[in-house]
Amino acid sequence: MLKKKWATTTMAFCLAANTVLMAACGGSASTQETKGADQAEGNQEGTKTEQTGTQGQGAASDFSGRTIEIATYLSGDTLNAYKQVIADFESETGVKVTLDEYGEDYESTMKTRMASNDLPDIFETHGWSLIRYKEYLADLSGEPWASQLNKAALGVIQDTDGKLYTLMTTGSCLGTAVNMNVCEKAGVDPWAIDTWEDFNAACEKIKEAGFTPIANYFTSAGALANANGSWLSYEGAQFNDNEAMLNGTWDWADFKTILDYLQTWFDNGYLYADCGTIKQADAIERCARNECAFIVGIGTSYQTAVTAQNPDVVMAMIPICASQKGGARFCGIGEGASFGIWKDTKEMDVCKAFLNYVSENADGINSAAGEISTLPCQTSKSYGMGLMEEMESHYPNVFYDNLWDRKYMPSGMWGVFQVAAGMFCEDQSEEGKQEVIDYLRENYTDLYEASQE
Amino acid sequence: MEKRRKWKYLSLCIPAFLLIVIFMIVPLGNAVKVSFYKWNGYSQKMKWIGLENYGSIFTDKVFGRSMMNTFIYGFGSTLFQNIAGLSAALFVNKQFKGRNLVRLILYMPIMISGVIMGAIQYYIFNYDNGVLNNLLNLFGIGNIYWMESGIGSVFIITLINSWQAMGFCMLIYLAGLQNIPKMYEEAALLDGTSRRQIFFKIDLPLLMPAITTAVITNLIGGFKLYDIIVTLTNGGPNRKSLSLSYYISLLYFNDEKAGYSAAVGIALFVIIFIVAVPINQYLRSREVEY
Repeated sequence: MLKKKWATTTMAFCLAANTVLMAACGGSASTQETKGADQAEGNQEGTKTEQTGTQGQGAASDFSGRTIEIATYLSGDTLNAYKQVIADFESETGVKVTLDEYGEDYESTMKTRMASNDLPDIFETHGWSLIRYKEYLADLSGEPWASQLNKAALGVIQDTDGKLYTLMTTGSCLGTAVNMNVCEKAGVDPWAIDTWEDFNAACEKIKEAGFTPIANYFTSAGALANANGSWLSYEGAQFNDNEAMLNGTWDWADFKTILDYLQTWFDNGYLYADCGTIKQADAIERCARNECAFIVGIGTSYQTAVTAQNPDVVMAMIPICASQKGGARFCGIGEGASFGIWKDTKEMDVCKAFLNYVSENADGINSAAGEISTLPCQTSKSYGMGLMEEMESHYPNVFYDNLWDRKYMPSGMWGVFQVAAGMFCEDQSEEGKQEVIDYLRENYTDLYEASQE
Repeated sequence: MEKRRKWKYLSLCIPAFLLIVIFMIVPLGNAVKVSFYKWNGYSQKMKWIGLENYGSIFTDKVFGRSMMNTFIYGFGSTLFQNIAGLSAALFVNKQFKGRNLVRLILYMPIMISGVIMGAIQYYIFNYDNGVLNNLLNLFGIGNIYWMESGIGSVFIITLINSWQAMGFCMLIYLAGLQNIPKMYEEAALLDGTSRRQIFFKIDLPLLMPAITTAVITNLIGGFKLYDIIVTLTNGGPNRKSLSLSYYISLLYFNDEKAGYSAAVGIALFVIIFIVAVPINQYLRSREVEY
């Protein structure tokens, strides 16, 4: 009887302990499985990407047995190209790379890890290397590739003291996407568009031809944030509020001019009826069906996605319009696939070797991303680069600057603009516009004060 | 000996107790602590602001709207799920050909994750080229902007959530119905009672334990609704279909207001507690045994 009791007690204890152990070990097991699957997938998919350079250039020293963790938000072909580079680095150096693919949850997950000061050895900075992640990143200005980055990249990632914290392998060039098929059918020459007045005139012709002129969606902050420099910041703009924006004293009164202009899109019926609820995937699909002409303030990955859905669509890019005649035509440059090193990593030499390796083998990543090149090794012209060059042939004086909200607004304002876009989409009355401005001002002040602490 | 046995049994609870402490008590305590600070969620610096975050709750229009939505998702979903679930259970409790197949079909929606369900329904309710509008176009009816208003979006989310979780309710009620001894029904029939009277006077009172379980589970699930909203409406239009759970997430990760997000999280915890406990007590008091 006693023996039976002991057996029962022991079994019950083992079952309970096993439950705890399985709950604890479940995470690490799946990470290892993911790593294994990633490596297999990287090796299989690598042949699909375009790589004109010799594979595996710039092999680093032997780091056998060392392990590094990399976090990325990349997906699709770009991720596959990146995995190929990782696989090649692993085979040449003996390093084991654990790749965390956070996808759309990347930002949320990274914020959580920053809060606990437990960051991956290498992680993507996605445009926030200077404003958000700087205090966690190592200075990389002394690296061999730093001097090779082109002006488009340095203008975005170099700090005022010359330091830079990320390897920017691709750049996102943000302008106004144009569906040339629709413009041709409507009799509109997009290259002749200079000011917002010209833009509205073109939209009117497109609407009369039976198409939807503008595919902007107000579920994204882009509709309210990406083109603002045209009115507020650049040469020939209606206002020059840069200093006030950067020192936290901006009162947002001039922002009403932008809202008044955007109201014309609603009043004149240039937008989709459901622009308040659709997402980028819907805009891409409708453009691929040749239903709409323009989308303002979007990166070249949009055109890449449209042509992937329908290769017969001819897409182009024009700079963001000027707010008045003679004003600067500009494009925003953002970090594309950019990688920084955690300053407290225990594998600094391995991480630097990895970034050096990526800098010399970034052709595949650049081609897959469809964005603009930033390094001399990138010999194949990406689709995005082609769009940019075509645009420059029509607009030789186009001006490039960092994405407006990243340069002039405190960290966190993108989310605020997203809410404000929804508010404005619902109510474009004078009271509605004032509510939007009050909401932006209040949050801007809050976030600016927090950034100064 | 009795005391020794008691300690032996208690010691077997230690692993479960540790899990509750580590994954529930400690995070709750941390959330309470963060709610007294102004913090962006990732910086190493936090600023003490006392009860300011709790004060903001009373002036935050989005919180008020999200709370209303949360009550609709909770009570609305519970009502629909339980009525539909009980009806389905009564139906599949009968003997007929293909009964098992019908049970499977009714249960299947719950096997799909909320995120996927929201994504599927997005393409059904989409204004342009959505499945529902395409069907209406066949009958000459123009496109309807189903999710144009907050009310419409909330109603659609409630319906979809109810339909998806109905299968879970059906299982609970089916188990409850099958646990009711046949002798009560047979005795009632012998006494000349109608089917309707049997259901309301015998089945329903004896189903109270199942009703308690289903109602409380559905209520808490509805109050915590998150995944369907993310993929179906993303909280829109203009944050009008947000639930408190999703609002907490947006405050933390989107708006970088981690302290305020924690305060709203504590408020949600209190709301669920205040609502669920009395309902649980009331339903348990209605349980009968014959």
